Amino acid sequence: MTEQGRAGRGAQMTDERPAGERRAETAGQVVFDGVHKWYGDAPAVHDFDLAIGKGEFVTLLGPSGSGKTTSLRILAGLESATAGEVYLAGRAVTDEVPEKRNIGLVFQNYALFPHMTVAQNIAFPLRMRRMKKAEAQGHVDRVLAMTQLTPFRDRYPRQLSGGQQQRVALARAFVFDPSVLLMDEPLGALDRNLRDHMRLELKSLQRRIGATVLYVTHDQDEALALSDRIGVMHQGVLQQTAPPDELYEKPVNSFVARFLGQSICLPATRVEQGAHTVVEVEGIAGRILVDAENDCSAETGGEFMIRPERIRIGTDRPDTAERNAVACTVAAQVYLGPQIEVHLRTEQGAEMQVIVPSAAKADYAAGSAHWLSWTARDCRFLARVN
Amino acid sequence: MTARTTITRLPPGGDPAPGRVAPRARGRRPTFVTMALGLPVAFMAIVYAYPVGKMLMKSVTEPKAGFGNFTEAATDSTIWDVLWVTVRLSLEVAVLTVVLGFPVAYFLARTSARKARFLSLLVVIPFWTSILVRSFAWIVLLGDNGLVTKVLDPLTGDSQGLLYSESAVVIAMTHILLPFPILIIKGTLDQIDASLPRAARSLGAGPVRAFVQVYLPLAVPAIVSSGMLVFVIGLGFYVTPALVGGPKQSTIAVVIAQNVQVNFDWGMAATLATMLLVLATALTLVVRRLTKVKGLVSL
Repeated sequence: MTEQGRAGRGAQMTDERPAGERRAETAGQVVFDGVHKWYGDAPAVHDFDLAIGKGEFVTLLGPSGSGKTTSLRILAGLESATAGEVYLAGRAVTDEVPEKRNIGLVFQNYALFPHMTVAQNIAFPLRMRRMKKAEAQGHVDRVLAMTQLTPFRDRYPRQLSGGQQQRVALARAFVFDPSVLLMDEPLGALDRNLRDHMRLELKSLQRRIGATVLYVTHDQDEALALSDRIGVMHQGVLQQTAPPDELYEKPVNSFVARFLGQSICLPATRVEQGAHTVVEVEGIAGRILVDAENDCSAETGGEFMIRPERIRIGTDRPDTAERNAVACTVAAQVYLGPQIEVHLRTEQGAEMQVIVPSAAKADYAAGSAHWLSWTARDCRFLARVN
Repeated sequence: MTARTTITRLPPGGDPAPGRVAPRARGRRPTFVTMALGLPVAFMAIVYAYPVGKMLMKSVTEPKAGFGNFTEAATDSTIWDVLWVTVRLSLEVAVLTVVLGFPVAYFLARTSARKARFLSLLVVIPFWTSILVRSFAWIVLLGDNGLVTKVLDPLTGDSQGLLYSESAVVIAMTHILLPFPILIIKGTLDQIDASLPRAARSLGAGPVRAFVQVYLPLAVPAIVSSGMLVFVIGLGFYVTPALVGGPKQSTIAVVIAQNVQVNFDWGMAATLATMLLVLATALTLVVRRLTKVKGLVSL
């Protein structure tokens, strides 16, 4: 995304209009162009560039305080950007008041109006747009049916279950056909089972109405299951934006690798760059070969990274011409039900873990010696971001 | 005390597992809850219910049995005037305190918790000062040579003080009763989810419509109930109208006191007190019916 942002700015020479506006025409429904947000002198969001296409489901994923909610609130107009522009459906809205932006916002606590019935809550945005009663009624009925809320139309929010309240909040946010739906941890207040169920419901509803969605969560499973693309945020900086599989398989830095799924990350130094990148990894004897395209660090110092499921574990020394290999002894094992997680230690003291089927439990007793091996294609050399 | 047995009571139907020791038999000695509720009930019965009952009795027994006192009061036009003054004063004060108190409560509810604590203290401190002292203070301020008169002099061209007028009584009573609406309304506003006005804004409501259609309706119960509370307290106000008001501002409480202290007519005093009680109850019920707000303090 950053590259695209820079390209956009570079092309400004030939076109008078701001880069964001042109990108807004081509790239989509929502465009953040170099958005910054400072609280006093603490940066909350730093140089945020993101374009969301029409009908796309994009998630901002990150730990709390990473700036994801702030970015969403800037788009909603509940927070003002210190610098940069925000475009909505090709229109600059950076200085527009929230009520003029035509955005559907779903709050974590739903923010349903307690003194209005379900139908009145859903009709509220239509009433604010001075839509005729009969027409509004039609829209409300349609949305109630879509969210299976028709039997509850005359109930008050406090008479509904959490999942039903969630659906009302959702219905209220899209009944007026907003340019984009913003959701800030909308499933956060639900219990585990209901959350999984609502996740499916949310995704199918989004597909049916073709809504453009910007979703914020700290739950990686939710992000992976729902999103067309995920943007990982950390310390106010968008680290990487990619489809879920690419994000998992090809993280560009150690923060993304650690935050999403399990990974083994070890400090490393690059010693050679060519067809393969050759790195020296702390705690692993010898040199490790990494595919050139898996080399994502601009500096010689970085982190060696591999997913545990890409590691092959065996008792015999593998063919080192084809595979990177290291000898280890088992330090401990953790029982996970269908699998066990085996913690191993290299002779130089680096810790690595692999996942093996529970049936093989007896083979990995503490103290037993094994060889770990992997191909150059499966491991990566990443920029260090903590 | 047998507090433990009551508090750690088993859930209904949850029989102790076989082999466990059965809970100690309850009901022989008064439990903590019965005592905690019983003592205030007994206290109120002695210091409230009994005197009120006695008063109600006096109104129909003194000087002789029958409703003579009531017919006398009902045919006396000055009593009707006094009742009207009382109701009007209380109504004015109730409306004023709510109108003045709401913005303060709104501000207190929206500011940071630390500031709100400090400012609430400023609201409550005058509350701890005796009503008598505060009423005397208003005599000083509103008198012919008082501060208020002097400040307003160039504007009104009138060097006469406000003292002994209806304005004086309303000003003083509003000052004294203002903390009630502030604290009651603040209590309710604190409960209103701060994301509601924001949700309204995002759904297309301007700041005014978000306030009027979403925020204000949620505050209505507190506004009505605090207004009702001030109104009922105002009906029985004695010290302030007696000190700050003139003869025209005699409230029913002032007339009751006159009957007791000057005329020694206990029967008539009791009759008027009964009328005040009936009036307060009736008006409370009417407001309750009209606004569907239940109770004086509803959160």
